[in-house]
Amino acid sequence: MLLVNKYENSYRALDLPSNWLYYSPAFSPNGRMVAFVRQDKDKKNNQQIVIVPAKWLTASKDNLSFEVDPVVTNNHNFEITNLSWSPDGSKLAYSTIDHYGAEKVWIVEKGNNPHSQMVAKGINPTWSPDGSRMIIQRSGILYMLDVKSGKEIKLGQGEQPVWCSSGYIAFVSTRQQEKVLTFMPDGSPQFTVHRLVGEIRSVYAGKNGDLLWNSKKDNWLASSTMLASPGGRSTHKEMEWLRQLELQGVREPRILMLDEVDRCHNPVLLGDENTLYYIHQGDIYASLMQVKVKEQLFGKGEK
Amino acid sequence: MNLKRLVLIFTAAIFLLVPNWAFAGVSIQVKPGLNGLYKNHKPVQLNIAVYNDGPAVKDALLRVVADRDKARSSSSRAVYQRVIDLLPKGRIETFIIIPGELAADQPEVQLIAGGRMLDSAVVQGMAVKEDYVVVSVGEKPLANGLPYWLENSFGYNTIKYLPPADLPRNPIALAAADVIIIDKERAPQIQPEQAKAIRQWVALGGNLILSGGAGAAEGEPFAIISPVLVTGNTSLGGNWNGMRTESIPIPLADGKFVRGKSY
Repeated sequence: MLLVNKYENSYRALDLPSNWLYYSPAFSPNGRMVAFVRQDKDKKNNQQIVIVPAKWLTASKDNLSFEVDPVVTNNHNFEITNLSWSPDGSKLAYSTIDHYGAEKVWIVEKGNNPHSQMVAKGINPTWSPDGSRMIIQRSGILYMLDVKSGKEIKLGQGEQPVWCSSGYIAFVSTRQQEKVLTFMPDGSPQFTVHRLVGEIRSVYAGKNGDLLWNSKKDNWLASSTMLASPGGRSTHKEMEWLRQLELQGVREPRILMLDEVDRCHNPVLLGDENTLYYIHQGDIYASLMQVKVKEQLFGKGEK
Repeated sequence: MNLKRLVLIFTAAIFLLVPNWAFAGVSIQVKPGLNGLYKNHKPVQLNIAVYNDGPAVKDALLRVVADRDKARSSSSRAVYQRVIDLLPKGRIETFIIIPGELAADQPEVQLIAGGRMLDSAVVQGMAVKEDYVVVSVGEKPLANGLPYWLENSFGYNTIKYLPPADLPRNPIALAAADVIIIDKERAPQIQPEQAKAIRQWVALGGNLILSGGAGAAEGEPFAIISPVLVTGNTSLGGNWNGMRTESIPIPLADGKFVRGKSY
């Protein structure tokens, strides 16, 4: 795991006990605790969710046994992922994926005798700021779930939702992009690349999601706002393809189908700081990006 | 009613009476840089072709909108724009120069007349960041070892073939290229305006390779900038003291050293 200092744009690898592998870290809302998934290196099917004080992560490994009782233990062939704290820090939502690909969202309450309860099918749970609802992802579609009643409504296409304390939901939207790299003398496309691009969009849902729950939105993506996109910059693979075609003397139109995704993903939106963090995944690198966002009025009217 | 008032009323009526079908057949096509290739830290010429199947349209506005998404629409004020007149049932070519950074963000070029958008096109193409861009006017230079020599000399480079007809007439539009290679057989097809743009681009720091002495003989367009005035042809055979393994003679330009320094 890497610990990033967002003020100094620096990071360091955490010196954690090496007999475990670590995944899906999540700071508690007050920043004092960290939940993460760990897996015994020698035992394949043994994943656990543990919660430790955040200061343990920066302590020396010699003073750190990490001998803590796991909140969740998985002795089956499940993958545990996507940990998400409830706003009051009393519960933890997470998802599991079994070896058949079945995805489930669970909630576990912190305490002496933690017990997980399955709440829905899906992955990537995120809590509303008031803790009454969640957004989950199922087959590339986002749903809003009422935690108490278990009722849900469909929102629309999206992945990796994050509901931030200011009421905004950030999510990843993936689409097929056709990009013309070069043109024929008559202006028609010569060398074209088809690839998947992922961009980060946002909608305002309020503190409890009533705005979306009570409205019938069939234009989900159109009503969202783009926050970050990979843009039109060329990748190394595209440039190498173009170079080879030029050297081979190919002049007629060609299409390159790229199966990799040039995408922005794993958004984290901090409402109190007006800052969006996300990963930009290119073909040969991945970068942690930080973007300042601001709320703006686009129009006025009676309704 | 005097003549001035009559003219004003008539003009207003024309605007009101232009029907929707009048704009039905207008489309635009946008080619950035050198047939799509440009550098994202240099100015980019957007070559815009406008096709009009309908009647003439006066004072149409071509503008580059920085971002199509409403998230940044307040900063998408059209800074780059120009007014054009559309010929009836005709095609016109024009251009707008924008920063490469903006082009790489895939802005939209919009054509607006009478308060309506007639057509729009997203700027596509390939933005090159740091690599050397080598443009070859003609096929021949790409077929021999020159690209590999360039790679050894300048590092990884992006190569683009350009037919002579597609060479820009504006030195700024050539800013995407670091090296231009001109094939001797293609040099006669280069128009005087294109040759002038290349000469100006060289004066601005561009590297020009005249393959086989292309266009560098007396009276030819590059004679006034070429260090060697080409006077004829020769060939060089042999193994060059072991530097070559083949014995086929290489055709070369022969000439007189007229300017610059030789090392």
